[in-house]
Amino acid sequence: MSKETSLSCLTSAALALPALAQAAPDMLEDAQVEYQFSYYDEADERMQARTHQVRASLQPSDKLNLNLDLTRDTLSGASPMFNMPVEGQTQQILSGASIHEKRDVVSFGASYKMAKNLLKVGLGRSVENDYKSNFYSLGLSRYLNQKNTQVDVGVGLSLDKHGIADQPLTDKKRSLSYHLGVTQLLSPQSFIQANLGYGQHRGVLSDPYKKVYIEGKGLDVDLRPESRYQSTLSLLYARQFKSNDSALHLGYRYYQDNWDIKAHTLSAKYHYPLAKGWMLIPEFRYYKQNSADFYQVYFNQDSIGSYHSSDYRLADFSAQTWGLSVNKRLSDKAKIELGWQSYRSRRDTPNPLAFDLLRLAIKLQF
Amino acid sequence: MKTLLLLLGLGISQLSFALSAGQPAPHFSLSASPANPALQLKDFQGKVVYLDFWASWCPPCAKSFPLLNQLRADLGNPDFEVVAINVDEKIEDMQAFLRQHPVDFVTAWDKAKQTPALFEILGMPTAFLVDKQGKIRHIHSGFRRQDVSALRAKIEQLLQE
Amino acid sequence: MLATIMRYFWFFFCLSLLAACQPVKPWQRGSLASEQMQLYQGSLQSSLDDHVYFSKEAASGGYGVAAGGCGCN
Repeated sequence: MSKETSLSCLTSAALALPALAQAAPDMLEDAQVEYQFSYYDEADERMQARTHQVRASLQPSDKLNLNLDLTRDTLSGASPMFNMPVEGQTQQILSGASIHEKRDVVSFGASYKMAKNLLKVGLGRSVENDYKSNFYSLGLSRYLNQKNTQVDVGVGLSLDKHGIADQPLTDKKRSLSYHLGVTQLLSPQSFIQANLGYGQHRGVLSDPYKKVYIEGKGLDVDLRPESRYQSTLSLLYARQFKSNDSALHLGYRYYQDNWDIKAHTLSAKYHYPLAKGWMLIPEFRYYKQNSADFYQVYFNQDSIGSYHSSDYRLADFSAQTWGLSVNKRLSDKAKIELGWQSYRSRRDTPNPLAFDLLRLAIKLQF
Repeated sequence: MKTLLLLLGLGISQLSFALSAGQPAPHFSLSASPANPALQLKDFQGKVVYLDFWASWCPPCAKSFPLLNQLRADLGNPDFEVVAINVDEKIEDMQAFLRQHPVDFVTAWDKAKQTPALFEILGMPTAFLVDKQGKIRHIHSGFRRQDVSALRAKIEQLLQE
Repeated sequence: MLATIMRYFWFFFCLSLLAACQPVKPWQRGSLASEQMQLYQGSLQSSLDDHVYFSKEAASGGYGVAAGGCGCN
């Protein structure tokens, strides 16, 4: 535990949640830089992605924290377009031409600390050749009961334009999201957090790259409703064990939207500290959703409605993620982490999605 | 929305009642531990005392230790002492911290955690500047490098009284 | 349905207020300040995970305010 003393300097960066855990009335006056590289690899030679992320944080005063995030994604591969029956068997048709895409995200965040409140603002921009998004957020955390309770409220706005690559982006989408969260310390070794979320998306929500197959007619476009309302409830519980200083995090999320999708997510993460600044973090996640009311693997003339999609992400499926991360503190000022996740989904369509995610992260403090 | 406002309002009524400057520092005595002999505030009667409450897991505490050690050495006054009371759960955590941040001033482990309760501290670190008459003259919460010069001026003023 | 969610939420909130009868003191937060007890929300890892799941599953959000969208494949 004591060996983590300086390590906690690295982890208790001003934006770490919940702020309740930080008894210190002062923020650090340090600067911090983090870098993460990840490699995402789908089975069956579908998509691959390489992501570079950089985050720089600075505390110019004891009350103010500034951070800048830069992300670059490069994607390549093929993506499922539609399904069709071939000799009695359903076949998944991938996008013919190989996709090569780049995504750049820049975002800026600031938080200002007062005696019992923490105010956060954020804004950012994400750019792809077929999708542009500007997003803004505002949040307030308030501490109650001698910092035994934290209440968070937040609102986010995202204004997006999208279309087909290298053509004028004419489709618009506007998203608003609200968040209310309560974190409560249960004991010196445990806390619980409950979150309510509500999201409102309006505009063109169809995917121009996806198609549907209609028996006896052929292909048609993916067509979805112009609005989507999402509600979530999540619960998180964290507990540390005195015997070996390890900690268990458990989470559950319930999701539902007006497309008739309901989803459950269960997650567990165990942080096991070893000697000499090493930490082992196995994790498990289970996810299950049912299909959107306008989804079908493929359609026929009778079943096709005004809205229709065969996007595999709107299908009925479940998925499991197993993961293992290991990190090591190299000095007071440096930490390195290596992580691996394996995602396997089960569904009744061919080629259920499976991917592996490898991650390397470095944190430096100045 | 109404309930939310109510919830936020709840916080306002929860004002804390910590000690304040001008009050006499509460007397305490710490029993001996493997890390330190028994200790009481009375032992420092007639001295200006920087009474610090700290923990190994508190980042600003780590920052403050070398600075406090330097400040004490710079003042070089036998009428000034830093007394740093540790509130760690495990004594080993405190000992490891002191190996990493060695200091010449007085450190002590409060196993029972009675002193932080007595001084009603609200965060880590919190320090009480106690004058020669045993009165609290200044309460310092948190610690930043920039704080040292103002702190030094206050201590020098109290030493001259 | 939203009403049901609200009811659950208040149930847990009230439960947490009960727990507040024995407040955790500032000097008892060594465990809570440890690295292994930090929530990973807001970290680079969580923004990566959120992005991956957002682009492969229908459900999203739930732990804070959502960031910007993407045209994910």
